Amino acid sequence: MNAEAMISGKNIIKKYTNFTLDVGEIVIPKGFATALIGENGAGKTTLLNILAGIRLDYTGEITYFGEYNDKDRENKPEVKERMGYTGTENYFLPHWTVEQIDQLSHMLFKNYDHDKFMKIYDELAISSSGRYDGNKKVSELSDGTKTKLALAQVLARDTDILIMDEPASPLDPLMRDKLCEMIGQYINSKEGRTVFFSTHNISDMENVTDYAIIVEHGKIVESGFVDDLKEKYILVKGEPADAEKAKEILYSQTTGKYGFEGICLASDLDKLAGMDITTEQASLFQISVAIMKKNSHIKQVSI
Amino acid sequence: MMKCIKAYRAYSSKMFRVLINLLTIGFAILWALLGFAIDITPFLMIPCIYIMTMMIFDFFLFGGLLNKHGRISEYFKSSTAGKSVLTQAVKGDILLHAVRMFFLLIVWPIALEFIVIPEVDPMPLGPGFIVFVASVYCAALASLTGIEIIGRIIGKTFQMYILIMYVLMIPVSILTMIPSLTFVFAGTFIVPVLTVLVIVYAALAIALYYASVAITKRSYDQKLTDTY
Repeated sequence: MNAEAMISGKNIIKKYTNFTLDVGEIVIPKGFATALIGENGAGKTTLLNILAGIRLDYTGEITYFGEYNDKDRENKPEVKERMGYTGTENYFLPHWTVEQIDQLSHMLFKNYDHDKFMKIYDELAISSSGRYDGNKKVSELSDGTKTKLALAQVLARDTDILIMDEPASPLDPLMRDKLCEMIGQYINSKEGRTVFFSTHNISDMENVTDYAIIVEHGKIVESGFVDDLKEKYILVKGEPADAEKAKEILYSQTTGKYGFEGICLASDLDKLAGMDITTEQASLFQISVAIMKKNSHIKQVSI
Repeated sequence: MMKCIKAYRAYSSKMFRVLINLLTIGFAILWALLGFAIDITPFLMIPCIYIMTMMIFDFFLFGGLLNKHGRISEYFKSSTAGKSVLTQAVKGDILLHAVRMFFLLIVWPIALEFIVIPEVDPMPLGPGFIVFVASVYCAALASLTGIEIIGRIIGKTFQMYILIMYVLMIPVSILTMIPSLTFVFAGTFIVPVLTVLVIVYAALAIALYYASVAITKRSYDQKLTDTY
């Protein structure tokens, strides 16, 4: 499946002392929800921040909406006006009140709608009392409520793309479900609207994810539409006797008393010929974990 | 102009604004009482104390503009207008300082001279000197805010800002005090008084600097472990 790019980037490099983000090519398809997946320290936040224009200390080329480059992003207000961003901690300063955030958003963003903010504030039950509390300070809010406030602020703007760093992590299961619903509503509310988010909660976010990008050690190790990935990778289950032999073919393998299971490339299935195996469609979670395991520095823990 | 002040007020912490203004009033009363006790009109000291207190206020204002990692909040960076609104906040700060300077260093002494206490000479070194000191102060403040804006853009850390602020502002603030000190102490004790002031300010600067370094370092360590 090919799709028009909402954001695309080439040769994006950001060097830290002991870590380098090196992205040869990245495409965020227009009109879809894209999940950025990777283990801690893989470079997800750095990549998101670079694409959102939060970090400027990198090299590479980035194209927005098919017509603007990263210099335009800084100089032409219409580019960032079309982009919504929510970060993790310290996105809002702790001494700000809810009312100040509403006022500041008015000053910072032309397309900010106060009434819409109030509506979403109410719908997400940001105030525990059920009433609007404009004097409530950010520092007095729980992590989940801070995320809800950031979501209310960003969704109150008329944007074409939402870039969200770990929006699901601080949220409870109910709110994660609501987040998926909101992402779906956002995408369907206007043609071409796109969402790009990083997540560790792959299972919770799977039903809303159309496209996935997996990063490991600063590099993209896999990307594609979820349906295509589910055709490319397959879940294999087999007998304990074949576990050792299958290990060489599988991306990851878990072995128990009753057999083994693991993920392998569908194109490698013929290499398992002669073994007593069954195959199933893998979930995005299983595929992602298998790919991450293959590339991870995490070793087998002996307990 | 209103936009600048609005931005400035929005970004500064209300609690510190109230606190610092209360402190200022407290200092002013204290100096007035001290002045009466030693039978010297102390009113000229008030502007100096006010200015120094406002410097401390600036410390909190700019501290409030940055997040705990010493960087500007991502919220500002997510908008193209963020940088210009921040600049407006800084302009608002300069503007309010300029207004304060005008009243405290020009209107206030003139009022003392002609209206309040006609027998007191509030400008022992002449109005020209006071205007000069005010200009130096404003110029230094403007440079500092310039440094601050550049610092934000290139991502300098909070402690660097504090260091620059104190290194530049200590001599300027002492310079600002000279006319009043000369008046109050009639030049006799000017050297020991200035020496004590330098030591107190240096100690304060070092203490604040190291405190901010410690806080920022701890925050950075935490950040390095959980994000990339």
